[in-house]
Amino acid sequence: MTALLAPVLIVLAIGLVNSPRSARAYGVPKNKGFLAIGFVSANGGSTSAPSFESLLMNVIAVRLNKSTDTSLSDFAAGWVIVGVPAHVGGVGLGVSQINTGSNFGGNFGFNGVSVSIGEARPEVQVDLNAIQSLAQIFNTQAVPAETYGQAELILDTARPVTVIPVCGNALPRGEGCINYTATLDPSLSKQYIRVALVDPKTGNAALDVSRQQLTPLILGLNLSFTGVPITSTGTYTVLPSMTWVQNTTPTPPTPITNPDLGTVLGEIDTSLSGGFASARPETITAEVAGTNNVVESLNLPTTCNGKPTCQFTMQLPASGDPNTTPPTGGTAYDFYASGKATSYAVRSNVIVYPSVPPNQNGSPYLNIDLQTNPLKIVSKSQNSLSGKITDACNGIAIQAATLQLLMPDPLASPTANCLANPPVGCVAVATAATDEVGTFPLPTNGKIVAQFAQIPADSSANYSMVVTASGYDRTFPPISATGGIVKCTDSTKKGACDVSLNHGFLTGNVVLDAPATAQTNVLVMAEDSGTNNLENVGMVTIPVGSSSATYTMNVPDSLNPASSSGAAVTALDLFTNALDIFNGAPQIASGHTIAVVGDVAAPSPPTVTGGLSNCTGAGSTVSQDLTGITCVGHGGVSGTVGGPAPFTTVLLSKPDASSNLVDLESAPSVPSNNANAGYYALCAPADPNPYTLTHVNNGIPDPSATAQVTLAAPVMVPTAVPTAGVTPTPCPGICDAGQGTQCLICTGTSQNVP
Amino acid sequence: MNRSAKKVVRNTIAVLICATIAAACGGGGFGSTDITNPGNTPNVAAQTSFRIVGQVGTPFALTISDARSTWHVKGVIPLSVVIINNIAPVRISASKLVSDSSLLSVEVINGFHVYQLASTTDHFGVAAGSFGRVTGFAPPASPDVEFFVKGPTQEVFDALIEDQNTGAVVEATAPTVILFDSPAGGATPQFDGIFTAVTFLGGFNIDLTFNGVLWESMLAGTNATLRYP
Repeated sequence: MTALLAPVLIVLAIGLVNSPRSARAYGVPKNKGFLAIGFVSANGGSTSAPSFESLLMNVIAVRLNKSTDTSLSDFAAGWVIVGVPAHVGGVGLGVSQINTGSNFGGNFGFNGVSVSIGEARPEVQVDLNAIQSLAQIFNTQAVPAETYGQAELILDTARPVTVIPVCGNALPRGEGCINYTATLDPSLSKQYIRVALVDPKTGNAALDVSRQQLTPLILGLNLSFTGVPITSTGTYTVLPSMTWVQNTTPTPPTPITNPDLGTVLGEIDTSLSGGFASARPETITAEVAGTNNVVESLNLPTTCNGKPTCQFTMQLPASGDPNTTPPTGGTAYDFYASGKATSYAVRSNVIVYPSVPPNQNGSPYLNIDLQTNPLKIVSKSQNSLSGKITDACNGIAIQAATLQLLMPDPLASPTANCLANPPVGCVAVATAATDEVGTFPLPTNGKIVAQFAQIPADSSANYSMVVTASGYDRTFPPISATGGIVKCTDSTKKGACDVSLNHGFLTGNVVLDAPATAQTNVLVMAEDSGTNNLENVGMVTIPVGSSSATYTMNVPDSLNPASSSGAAVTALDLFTNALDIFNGAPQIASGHTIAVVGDVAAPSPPTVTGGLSNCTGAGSTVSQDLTGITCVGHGGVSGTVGGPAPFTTVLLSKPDASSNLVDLESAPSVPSNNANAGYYALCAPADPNPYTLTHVNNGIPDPSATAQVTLAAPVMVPTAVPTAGVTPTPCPGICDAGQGTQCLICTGTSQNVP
Repeated sequence: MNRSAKKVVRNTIAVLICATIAAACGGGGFGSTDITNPGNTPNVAAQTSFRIVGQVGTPFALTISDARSTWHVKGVIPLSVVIINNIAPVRISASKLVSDSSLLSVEVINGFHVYQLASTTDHFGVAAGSFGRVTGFAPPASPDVEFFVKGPTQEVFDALIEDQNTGAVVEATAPTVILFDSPAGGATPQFDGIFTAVTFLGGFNIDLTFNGVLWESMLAGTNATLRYP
């Protein structure tokens, strides 16, 4: 597995619902404004930063109050609650009429929005390690337009924080690389985690939420550890704290800016008679570049109605510095405009920089690419696309397949290539998924329009469609948008699109070095050779007393166009990951060595006769055993990486018997301008053979910046000697239900990476 | 005479207001009153359910197991999963099926409370959770009975899932998969699901699969009944 090679962003969607209040911008009630709450890690300077693979805060809500008295009672008047994002598409959202495109299930209660103090509710798990370089939007909600003086973070009272520490070195200590619950330090009076939102000069409340406006509230989260367990079943105690990343005061026409957000100014033009209209609501959507992961959607304000041109402003999480020469960093987004009875307009790979700090002239940096080259839409008829995705070998429905409609950006440089993986210069303008019987799109409801139900019949759009499903070839069914009809060209029916996907088979045995002493579940992962692009995962179960089990899984064949250029990937790397249990709880970090085999030839493509694929021919099935799996216990490595940038990660890989390096997992490093810049931490089995660590910047490995590391073996700690009437219980272990007369406790390893 | 048991699994998953009523009428005959002592029947133990949340549209594969059955479910975020008749311990392993940094979170819910969370942003990352002390995965569900309440999305619905002997009342939000563990004890089962819309966002879209084969679909209406056989 590989991790975090791209920004982790949570979808922020604003105004997906058509506003019934046509006279008001964004549809927000007249006495309210939008508040967008985001989190960013302020943990990079903490001494805890180098010690944990994961630091997860379980957030239920953020509350605001006008008072600046941070000892204010929780039950005082005037608290405004912003809970977890619930639902998508804007039904039953109370007054907000805005929602996030991420989903955390909502809160209990009939309308799914009720929040109260003192009980467990659905919550967002915020990983501080994943938001070190880029803010994560928690939720956006309409709140009373007031000036607020404080914010309070509400965590799950039973499990406020979950951590996965790396292995330690001091004794006594608990096992590393397992989940620990951290409780709040008792000194945290009444469990308030608050920050004053005040002007440092005047001490007055300073978060001004203006009517009808979008105001960001970025909170820096930090964890200080005040108690460390000395046994594997102990708990940490933590002292969470917050800082406020203050906005600049807007000076019209300059909008609000924030150091963790890029302010994007844009323009959209329409050739429609009468201009923009409530009957044809138009939405601007920002996605992580090259993906269909929506970050923010914005309904055009109704103040644009009747006009042929509309100016808009978006606030997007961004990192980097535009004031250096050349600018450093930046966060890439794709943008598209969509709406009823109109064409799409797209812009790909726009690099967005934070707008603060200001430049030498004191002016904030404003991202104006979308003003310089406005989005332009025209009138187009639309129709839906639906169909079924099936396995070409047997006709069986494929579940959870994803369809993306791609549109090339006419201004893309270099020229757009929608076949590349990820697409270059192409924007995913519509996405659908299949259900358990292979049909798409998934049902919506009467108040939400499915993206695949509103596709413009635009012959100039040069659409491509890509269908992906784990274990199958990336497939590009032809698509036609001529004559006012959108359809797959090999289908004779308007709007119909049935697609079958080819694949091959991979089979073999997963072999343990010794018979299993407990049921052992092992994942088999297949990825494109030499990359971290995984293609499929399968699981085998090895019963007690057995040392092997046979796996068979679908994998893409040797015609799979999955490379960065769109060329076929003809070889796969394979590795295993055992799903081990510690003390009755499943863990992600495995104690079993990882079997790796690199550069395995992908299966031959099926032969196709009369439209039917024959998947039983020579080469359609590739056999490959995965051996040498033994439980050695957890291991962990931490250290620093040289010259850390905002998105520097450390990649862990392991050579196979032929010295092919197989990528396994990666971890982010603490970005520059932090006290612990460059620190990273990884868990991996304590393999007696060396791993390779590689410095990776923005997803690109540097083959000249590597280090070899052999992880320290766990230590054996004898169980206490039995005494009269007392038989000590052996420690729990990751390798089995117990270690007999001794505990197996993992040991940390230090290794810096150039 | 046996009367059906009720469990109420409330809102997006979770559970119980209900109770098993094993009310024997024996001997009372006419004139007996309050034989079931209404309102005072004991609740069954809090039930476990799951929500798979995070970046909308992210595909995943689930392996879910209770003490006697294991199910494999594929879907996309968001999805709720409810097990009818579940017996602890319960274990879930969720694997992302996409090679990107999208967020997948698993909420393990017991009763009305989030008991555990686990998240991943790894490529094909795994998030695991449990309720109770787990060992391995149980054998595959037999029979494998799954109600897929696919739409209308966001519809709050009530459902009565019952076999010949017991029933469970569920309130959840679509999309939800309802797994029925060992209906009628697993032998020659007869069962049904009766669904009633609460928020009326459109017509139901519900599938019933039996041992992996689509048995019945319901594509309209705000009330629906699906039964086997």
